[in-house]
Amino acid sequence: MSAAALNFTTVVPIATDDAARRTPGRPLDDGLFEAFYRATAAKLWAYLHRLTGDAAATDDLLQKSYIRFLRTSAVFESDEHMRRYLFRVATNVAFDHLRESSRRREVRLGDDGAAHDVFPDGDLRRDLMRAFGELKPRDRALLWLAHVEGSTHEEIAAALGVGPKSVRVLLFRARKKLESLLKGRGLAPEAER
Amino acid sequence: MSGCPLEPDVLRAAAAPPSGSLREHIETCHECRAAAAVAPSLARLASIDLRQRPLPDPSVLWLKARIVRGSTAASRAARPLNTVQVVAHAVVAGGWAGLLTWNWPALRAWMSSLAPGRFAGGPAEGASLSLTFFGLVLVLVTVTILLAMYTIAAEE
Repeated sequence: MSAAALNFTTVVPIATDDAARRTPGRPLDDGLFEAFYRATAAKLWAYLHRLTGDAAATDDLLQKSYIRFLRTSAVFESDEHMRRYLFRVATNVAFDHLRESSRRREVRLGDDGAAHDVFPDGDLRRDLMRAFGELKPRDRALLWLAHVEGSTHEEIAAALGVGPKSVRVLLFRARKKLESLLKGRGLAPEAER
Repeated sequence: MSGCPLEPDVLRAAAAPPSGSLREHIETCHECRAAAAVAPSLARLASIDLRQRPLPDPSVLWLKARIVRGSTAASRAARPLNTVQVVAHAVVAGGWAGLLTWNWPALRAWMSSLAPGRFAGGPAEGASLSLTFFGLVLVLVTVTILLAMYTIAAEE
């Protein structure tokens, strides 16, 4: 990999990755990017996959997200800031893809889409994926960012381009929708425990 | 966080049963109750790894990003040149139009003097074009050829 640094500045350490220790304001070079990538890529892949329901498309969208992320001239205060920005970019990339797919009538979510992927262990996971896939893309993003990524309402608002105050309501509705879908499939929390 | 202040605790409790006070709170807070209802399912969903292929190498992405940045920079750098080219085309076209309009009567007379009938009737009269006109034609022809060559080279 080239030692040349791209022309933008960043960053402070990713707490979860010692290899990523860095000095704030130092340009993001290939080594720092590699550490950042290793700390975030698997999570980002999972997020994109849950949004699109298509593993092959997710591979492309992951690359597109990182490339678009690397093109930015934004200055990052911390690795957490950088991670949030990456997820914001990825959300836009995924939504663009979904819009384009729906124009081409190729949306493969819910019963039609998630079933195309290989499920390592049984019906429960497939039902979970299908129930999640039946939600609207924005609801999927809301729930994933809140529950899996642990994003705050402000961070979710920034990622989805909605007002911070709306997130509370939208998240509540998305949770209720998912709960009802889970119940419809016999996957209500009571049934799981 | 603008929602219920205990929401993060509720989400964290998805993996393990919530403590007594948190459980009481969940019973009374409709937001946290909704969060707690879906949290275990989402935690399970997050644990499913459906990757069929390994993740791409970061060095490849780094390289691709550099290439994209390079081509973006090149097109940005070419933008003023493209503008100059368009302006040059307009100036040359305007020059030709102006020159021909300005000297149109003399040009018409000169062209009439070239008609075969005029030669039969004797020497032509009054069909003179100034040296300045020919000088300007020469300049415009040169500029037009150079511009055409530049345009072809730039496109290639």
